[in-house]
Amino acid sequence: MNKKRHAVSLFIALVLGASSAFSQGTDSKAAGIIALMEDKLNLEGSDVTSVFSLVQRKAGEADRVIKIKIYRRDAAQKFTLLFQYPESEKGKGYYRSGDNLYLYLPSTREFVFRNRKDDVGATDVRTDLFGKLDLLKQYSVTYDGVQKIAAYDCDVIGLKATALDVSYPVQKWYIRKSDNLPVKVENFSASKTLLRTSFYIDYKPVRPGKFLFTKLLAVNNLEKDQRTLLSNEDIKTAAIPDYTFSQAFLEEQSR
Amino acid sequence: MPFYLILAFKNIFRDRRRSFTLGINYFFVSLLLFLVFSLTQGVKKNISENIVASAAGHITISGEYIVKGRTYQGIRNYPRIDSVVHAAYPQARIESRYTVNSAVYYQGLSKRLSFVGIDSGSGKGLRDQITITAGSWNAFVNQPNAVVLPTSVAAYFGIKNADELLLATRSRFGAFNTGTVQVRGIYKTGNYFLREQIISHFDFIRNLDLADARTASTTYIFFKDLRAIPQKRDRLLLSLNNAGFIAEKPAGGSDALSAVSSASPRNKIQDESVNQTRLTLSTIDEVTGIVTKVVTAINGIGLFVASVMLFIIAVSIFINMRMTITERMHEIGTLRAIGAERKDVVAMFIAESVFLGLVFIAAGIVFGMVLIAVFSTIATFPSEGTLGLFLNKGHFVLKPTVAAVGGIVAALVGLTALFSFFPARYGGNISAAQALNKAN
Repeated sequence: MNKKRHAVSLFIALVLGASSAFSQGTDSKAAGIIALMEDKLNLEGSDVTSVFSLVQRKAGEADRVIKIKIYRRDAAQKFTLLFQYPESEKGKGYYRSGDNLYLYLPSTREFVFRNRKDDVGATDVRTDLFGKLDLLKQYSVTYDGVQKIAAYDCDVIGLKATALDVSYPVQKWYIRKSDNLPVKVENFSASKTLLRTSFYIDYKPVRPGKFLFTKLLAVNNLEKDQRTLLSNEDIKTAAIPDYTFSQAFLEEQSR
Repeated sequence: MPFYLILAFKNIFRDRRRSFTLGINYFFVSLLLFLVFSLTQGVKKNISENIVASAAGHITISGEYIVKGRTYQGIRNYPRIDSVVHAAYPQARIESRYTVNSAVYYQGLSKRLSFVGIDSGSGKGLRDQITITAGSWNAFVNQPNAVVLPTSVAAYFGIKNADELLLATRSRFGAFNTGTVQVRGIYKTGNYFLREQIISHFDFIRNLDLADARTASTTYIFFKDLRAIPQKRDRLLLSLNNAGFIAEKPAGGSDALSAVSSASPRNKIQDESVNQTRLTLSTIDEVTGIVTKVVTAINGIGLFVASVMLFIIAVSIFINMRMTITERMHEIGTLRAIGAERKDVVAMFIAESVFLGLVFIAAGIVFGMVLIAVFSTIATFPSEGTLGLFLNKGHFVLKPTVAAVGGIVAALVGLTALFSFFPARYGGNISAAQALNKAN
């Protein structure tokens, strides 16, 4: 029954992706690949809790380690992210609901509106990474051929923003042909300067047909030798209380 | 009466030690007040002139506009605004600028810096404020992606003329954009407000910010005739409102200051979906209003210190006068015996104190003028740091005014007369017989 439901949702995703592509004048093949990928990475139907460790390395500086706990509910387009380590960051957090992202600062007990764009703890990892993907809504896509990335044959999908309120107006996604999961993502500025590269190193299945990355390397292409390694541990899919997805929860946790 | 005044004048240095002891107090108080007022006037003038030359106009137009529910900082349709201003004041010089904060990358180093995009044809105000030490202004003008940067920035990065820099900024809509600029000039300046500014071309910076062709950050209006600026602003408000803009005065001093200090635009989302352009017109006095507050505070501190010293002087005058009268009983008795009236004796002693005060006040002010001449023309100081606010081309800006001198003299003379009156009245009330008796 689960497999049948998965196949149906996949079919619907493909159709929606294709129609969306046609409505925006994009490549239907590319849109289909993106739709398949999003279907695997978006975790509707279950809540996910996990702990991320971020290690940022900068030239000439000591490594910086940050631990965050994330509560994710893609069906409602919400997540709550809570800093657990180091002490200086403890109590800070992000709350996202739809397109609105709020940063909570325990020192001033205020929520700062971020509008979806922010780097987590000033690392090379953006908060976009933790939520549901919706690339076809924000970008037009083109199929740019095939490339081999780290022994994987990948479809190369070019993304161009349809509105300028996204962080990276130009992107390139390298998606494995074998399982439609991304291997590498290149983020460019509006003038097509490479700003950031993210390597998806490993995945873990959360449910049949649904995957969560467990290791990611984000490289800052403007700052020499600056990169952040992300590890995703302690992944659980138990139901999360609704209260967790609220600003009040963040305030309470910081006390 | 005049005879007693002449006598008073001759008695100023009768007791030299006592006169000089008291006179030094007058000297230093008048010198302190003169320098404080001159400095505050100079600071105010210097800051106003420097701001007008670099970061504001006699009237500055700033604002925000709403497009499809999103509010963006800046001016939309600035060519139309320029034409409205030109129609109202054909002789005025109008200059629009685009300002952006951007990260600059060069050989492994990065720093966030402010860029001001100018129309190089009309950016004469800035050109006059800088001295190019490498490269040339013409080279900058002739290259669309050229920049002229200050020596401090060049030194930080180790940049030389003709080097290329990478800029990366988050545009007004949220998307990152990058651009490459080439250094075509390195400059030094005595203008405190230009020290960290990188001068670039208006169109280049606007394109970097992904803004449309009719957008600017601010528009500056410069008049040849600086009279009635508030009235001129009122006329412009009317013209712009008639032209379809929503134009208003700044709500307060901080609003006016933010009009000239805001760099990278921010955007905020509202529920309304109206298309609107809101303008704020700030006069230079409003922009520098905070300077007036600081200046008033400095004047206040100076006055407080002077008040403490004046209180000491007042007590000295009182004691000094009592001692003098006690010592000159014979003289008082003689004067009263030959027909001097009570008021003549009182007037004589008051006049003595006042003349003494005037001599040393004049000395203090003259010495102050000498110091001003030295610090304004000969002494040179480094312009780095906040000291640059007080300097023009390395010299302190000190502006003495007639009103300040008049006020100092009037205040000190009034104080002297007041505190001399009571002991002088005591002296005047003594009869000839009493005075001569006491003297014996």
